[in-house]
Amino acid sequence: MGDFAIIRPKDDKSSRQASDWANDLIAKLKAAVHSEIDSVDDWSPANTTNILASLSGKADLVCYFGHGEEDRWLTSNSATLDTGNVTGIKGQSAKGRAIVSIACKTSCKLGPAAITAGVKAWLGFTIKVKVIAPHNLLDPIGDAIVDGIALLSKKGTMQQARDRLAANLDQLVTAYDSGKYAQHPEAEMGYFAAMSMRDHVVVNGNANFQPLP
Amino acid sequence: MLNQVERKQIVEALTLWSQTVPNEPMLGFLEGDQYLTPREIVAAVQQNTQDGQAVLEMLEHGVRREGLEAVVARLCRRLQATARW
Repeated sequence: MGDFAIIRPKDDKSSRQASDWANDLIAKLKAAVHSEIDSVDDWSPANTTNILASLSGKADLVCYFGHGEEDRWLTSNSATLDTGNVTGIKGQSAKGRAIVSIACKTSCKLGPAAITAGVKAWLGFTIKVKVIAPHNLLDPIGDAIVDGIALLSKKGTMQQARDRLAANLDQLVTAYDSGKYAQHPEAEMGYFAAMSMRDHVVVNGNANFQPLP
Repeated sequence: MLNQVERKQIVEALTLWSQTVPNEPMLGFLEGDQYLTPREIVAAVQQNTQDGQAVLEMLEHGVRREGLEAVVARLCRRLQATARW
């Protein structure tokens, strides 16, 4: 059993859709008997103080769903965590902590900075994360992301979660190309979105780390 | 970055594509604050907004992996399917 925390600013439409992904992930992690011990959202609110506090807590795994740039997380267009204050993460246990960042480009600079600051492993993207508006209530990109991260609930390593996520996006490329989503109106954009994200999801730090034992 | 020839063809293909799909909110980024409709996608690219640059970055990845012709063909495939009728 492990402990996890969720950070989701929910500050606009696409961020709220990403928050729905967080809901799905929470259900999967709890089903595997892991415990959600902290939650930061628009009610908390998701500001620098609360986010740093959550990152400095006892969670083995912290998952972020929201806006980002290469060197920062954003709430309402204001930086919350960035390469400057990431050194303020405290309370790293001997075992260490992993962060999953579902946000644009944060594995370019913020992820490496977090590793330097003591975070054991960081899973994120080096490209912008695309959000396709649900069609017929289906959100395949969100499902692909959540299923990949959820591998961590089964003692998966960060690398295995990354690989599952990339494999899911690869299957989605095929589904938008000639499979079950090929006739959906978003098929062309979904195809290019899934392909670009498949090729730009990475792990910073210790890829063999298992955050949820 | 796409060169001028590539960009011109991509914008033309995007414009055609936008006429073949419902103009409803479709694509957003975990950086911007809205979903773009197909026509807004075209306008964003033409006006070189932040969202437009993000769309081109996504399509450039396709161009580098599969070639310009394949990307243009994909964007125009609904038009070609209609023309066959």
